[in-house]
Amino acid sequence: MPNEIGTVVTFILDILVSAGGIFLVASGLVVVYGWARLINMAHGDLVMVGAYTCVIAVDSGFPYWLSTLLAAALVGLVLLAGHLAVFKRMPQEGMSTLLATWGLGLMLTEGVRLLYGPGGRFVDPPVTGLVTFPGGVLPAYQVALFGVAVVLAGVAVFVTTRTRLGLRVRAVVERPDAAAMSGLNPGRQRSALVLMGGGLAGLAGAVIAPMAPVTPYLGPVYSTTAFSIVLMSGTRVGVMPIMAALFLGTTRVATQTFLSPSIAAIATLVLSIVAIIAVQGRLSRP
Amino acid sequence: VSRQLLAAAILAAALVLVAALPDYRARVLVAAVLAGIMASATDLPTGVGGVPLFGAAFPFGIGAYAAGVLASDGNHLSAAFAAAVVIAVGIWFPLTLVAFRLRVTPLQFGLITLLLSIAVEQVIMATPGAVGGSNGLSGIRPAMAFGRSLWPILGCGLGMLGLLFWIRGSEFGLLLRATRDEPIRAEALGYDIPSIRSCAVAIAALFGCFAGVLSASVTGVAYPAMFGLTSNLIVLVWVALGRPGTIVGPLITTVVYRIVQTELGSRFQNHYLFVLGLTIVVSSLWLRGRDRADNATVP
Repeated sequence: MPNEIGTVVTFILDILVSAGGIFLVASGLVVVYGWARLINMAHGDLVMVGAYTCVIAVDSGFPYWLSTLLAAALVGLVLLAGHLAVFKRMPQEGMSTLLATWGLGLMLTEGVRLLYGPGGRFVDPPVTGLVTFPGGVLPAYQVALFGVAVVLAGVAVFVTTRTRLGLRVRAVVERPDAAAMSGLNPGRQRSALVLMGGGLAGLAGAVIAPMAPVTPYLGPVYSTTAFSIVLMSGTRVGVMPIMAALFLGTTRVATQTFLSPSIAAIATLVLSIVAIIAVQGRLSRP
Repeated sequence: VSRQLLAAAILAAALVLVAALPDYRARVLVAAVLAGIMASATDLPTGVGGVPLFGAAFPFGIGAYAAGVLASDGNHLSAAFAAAVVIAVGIWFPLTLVAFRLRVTPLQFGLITLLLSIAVEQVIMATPGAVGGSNGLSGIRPAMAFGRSLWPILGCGLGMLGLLFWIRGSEFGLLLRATRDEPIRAEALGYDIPSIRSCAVAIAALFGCFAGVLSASVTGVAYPAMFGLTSNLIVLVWVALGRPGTIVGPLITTVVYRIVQTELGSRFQNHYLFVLGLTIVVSSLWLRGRDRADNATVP
């Protein structure tokens, strides 16, 4: 009986950690695409740049937490520069925007590869050891990562639903014309959201860097996860991205626990697409 | 008519060049034309129908893998065609129908097809058995059905292009344009928009499969990156640069791109993708004027 309880606890902890990581990776895209309506195909590559920035800063002697902030600032500024120079001039959600952001992603991937080579880079986690739960054990850094995700999610929900800033964001996201007539500047709000979303992508990259080798080719993996979350949660501000991350985390952990890796990947894919179509269909109804 | 003549002229030139060029270059040219047919087929839902098919390389990859698994010895090409069509059309048609019945927007649908394709890439990479894992499949032999000659394959390409032109000019093509330009009016007139869009996507999948099977027979390889982000989005670049909705434009840009890629890519291998990314960003600024953003967000 204790073993069974331990298995269940470990299973639930795995789901929470997985959902936390997924939420972290997707949060930047939720802001940039879900709210600012910039279809950012470079999101995964920006996460990768954040991870590299953290690795290089730590290698250069900066403390880990400062490196994380540096990664967030650098990536946020890179995306903002791209937005102001190129993306802002294009129609929202148009094919040209999609291609331009993908082009930026290619440049980032190849730029990093040319500068640092294709091999994996590593950074030690700032927190080591194990945390013991009733019935289960987790690496301390995974618990810290989950904590960061929870704090981030809490701040996002509080800011967007309970503050004046959140009201403005919702106005610009949901009724840009009405927001403009109320004196808000949707263009400036979008730029601020793009900066924030880029910063979150950089932060996510830095936070997940100690979890696995950092290579220039991680972008598409992160992009796939992030777009799944955004498509599941739509443009709604609030708890939807958190629910989507929990759904995807549960699906991944459950399928990987009970099925072979290939079947698990297919099952996750099918369930994700079903969820995306169901949620989008529901959100699109008048 | 001028577009059709242009397309015929390109394929006629390809036929002549295939006879004149050495074997390797002739294969590069034929593979480029087949990729162009895939882009032209993608142009049907994307350019004519306003449904951006971000996962355009998915049926092409399925076709290539079907050839690699079922027709690697050059035989059983019809089985490879059939399997590819069943898989690609069998997935895309119901997916499109359900998505548009539930009023998923074309842009969101396009992203779903891209996610599907990338996920298939990851599944293949994790499956080392019949599909070769991350190494893919190589040594696929030329199709015996064509007497190992490239001309009949180009002839198939010509036939597919002719069919695409015919579809574009048919009543169905007109309806497809109506769903792109005036979806609300088309719906009010009683046309079933999800069915029309699903048929366009299924046709693109069908032609993509055929092109993929033939391409694997010409190049001899099928690899997971055929389903990847770059393979998918580069098709949209070809469609966008070739002027969406023209069918022949994407064919031309694809053939030119593939030949330039082969000639310059090997010489500047290290910087090729960086330059490609920069070129795409700059091209996008030029493309924004003709962007059909309005159509990407209509119901």
